[in-house]
Amino acid sequence: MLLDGRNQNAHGGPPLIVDPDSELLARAQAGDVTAFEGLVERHRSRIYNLALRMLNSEDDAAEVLQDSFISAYRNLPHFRGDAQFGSWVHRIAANHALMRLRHRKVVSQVESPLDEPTFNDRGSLVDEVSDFKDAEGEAMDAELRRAIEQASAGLGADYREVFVLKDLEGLSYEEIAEITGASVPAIKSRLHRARLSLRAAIDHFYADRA
Amino acid sequence: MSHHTCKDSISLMLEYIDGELTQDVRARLEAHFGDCSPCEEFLKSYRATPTLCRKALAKKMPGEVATKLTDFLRRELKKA
Repeated sequence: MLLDGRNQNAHGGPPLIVDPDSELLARAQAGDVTAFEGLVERHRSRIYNLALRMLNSEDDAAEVLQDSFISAYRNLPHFRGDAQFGSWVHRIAANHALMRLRHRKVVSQVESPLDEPTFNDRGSLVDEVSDFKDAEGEAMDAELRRAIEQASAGLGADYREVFVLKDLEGLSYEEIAEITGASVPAIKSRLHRARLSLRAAIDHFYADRA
Repeated sequence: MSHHTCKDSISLMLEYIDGELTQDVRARLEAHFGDCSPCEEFLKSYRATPTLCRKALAKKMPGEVATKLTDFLRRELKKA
């Protein structure tokens, strides 16, 4: 994150964050709709990806995209620049996606049981572990992509939200705690179980292919 | 110094990767990984999982979604 002493705030406090969107933002806050559209264009793809990963539905993702930018527009006068515009709108979108995910959880709960490793009585690993060698460097195999998509879609809402926000979106545990209302230890526990389950899905993919 | 089981080791992987373990616990864990190749492989695959998922779940936004968004915002902003 860029910090610049030339951008000290009016009270001589710590330097403000230099936001690459600052010019468009200032114009948008002054009522320039075209400037707001410029901001939308810069951030819409990232917001769409967040919503799609969280909700696993293109229709829902498109609606979250619309809701997020309308919320951002309505709240522009209250945006004080103590975060970057991109982070702020990203957070708005995370909240919208989370609300929708939780609503869906209440309406119909279709979740797969989490896949966790198995151990013998002495606590030793019983499972065979596949070699993920070179997997990160390879172009993504279409079947592996599908296996991961299915495993991610099958995660319960509590697990998927922390996995998406931490592992895919790169938020800190504290930011996730603020958005989800869960404690940091609970978030870590869910993230660990989500990773175990996704790791198992990838492991099964390689084991089946061997 | 008590030894970690595979179960203990796997339960500590998140904190291990995050660098949040005490030196003593980390040393015991690393000793276990050194002696247990399934756990060493498990750790590699556990570490690789977020990267593989990021790659698998990255999608390009369809052009029609972008167009619909622009149309929607233009309509709504006129009302505002």
